[in-house]
Amino acid sequence: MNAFATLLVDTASLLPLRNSDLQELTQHDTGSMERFLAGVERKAFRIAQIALRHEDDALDAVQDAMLRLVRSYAGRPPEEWKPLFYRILENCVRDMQRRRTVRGRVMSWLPWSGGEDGDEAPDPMEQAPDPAPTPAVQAQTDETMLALENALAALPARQRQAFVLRNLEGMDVAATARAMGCSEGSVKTHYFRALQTLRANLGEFWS
Amino acid sequence: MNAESDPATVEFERRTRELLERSVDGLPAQIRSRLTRARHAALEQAAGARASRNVAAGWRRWLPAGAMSAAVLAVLLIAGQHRTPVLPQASVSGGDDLELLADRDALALAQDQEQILDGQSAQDQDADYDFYNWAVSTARDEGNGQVGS
Repeated sequence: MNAFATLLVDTASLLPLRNSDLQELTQHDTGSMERFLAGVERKAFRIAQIALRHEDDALDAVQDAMLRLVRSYAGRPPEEWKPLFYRILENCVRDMQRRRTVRGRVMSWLPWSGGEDGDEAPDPMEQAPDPAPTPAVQAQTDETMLALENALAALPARQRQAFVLRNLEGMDVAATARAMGCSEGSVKTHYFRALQTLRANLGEFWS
Repeated sequence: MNAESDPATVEFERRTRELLERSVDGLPAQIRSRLTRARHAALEQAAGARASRNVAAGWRRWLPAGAMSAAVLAVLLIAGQHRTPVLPQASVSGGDDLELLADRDALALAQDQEQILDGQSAQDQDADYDFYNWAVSTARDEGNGQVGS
């Protein structure tokens, strides 16, 4: 019963604004929303990129999440924006993964597709960071970073989400639970399992 | 869950966080630029959608008042069209005609007044005056004759 009540509260928190809320939306300071988006967009992009393993798709997902947040939830208190944004972003990522799967199935049935692409499995060479000789890119091309990205991508979606929100975004357990739409206990469980798996897979890079 | 407080786990978390944050800070300028454009596009699209929603809301808000005003105006125009040909002539000339028809003396008086007011009636009035003078003098003469005869 408690889980059902939590689900109801979570669902209600994601409902779009009603007409009365639109009044607040018009009066809302657009500048603060822009500052918020500017503050989260890079981490959001990395989180989406780790999940999707594709730069353009990650950018599309982030932009879509930004648009949905501004359009539907800008009237909410600013402290709610971050969990809402990451919840929307995760939905966008999931939609994109689903679309990829469908596209991959359709393409595999087409005679001229040749099947060289196979499925939508990410190509490690294609996903490798740009080898331009800048310090930033140099950091991305780091072998450890690649190993971490691969290990994160191999995690179940919920574990990966719990890990990046807690570890990279620095959200506390309660905010992560709101972003994931689950209980705080579930967040702790997902995070703990993610840690265990990552440590087991990345042990050689950390020793 | 106690593993979270394990020093090795804490160190692992610290290193992964550091690595991920470094990758965020080291995003290429091209990506950062595209993110900025995406942010602006999202804000502009949302502002456009908001503006169109406001226009629609304005229409919805003022539509009943506008319809009511149009209805009232239409009723006034239709009523005005029906009343305009009747009012001035019926109230003035029609009423006078009835009074004149009801009273013969008044009718004659009105005709006399009309004749008097008419430009030609002045000559008639002179003619009547001459006639009255002639009638008086004739009567006087006849009276004198009768007396004299």
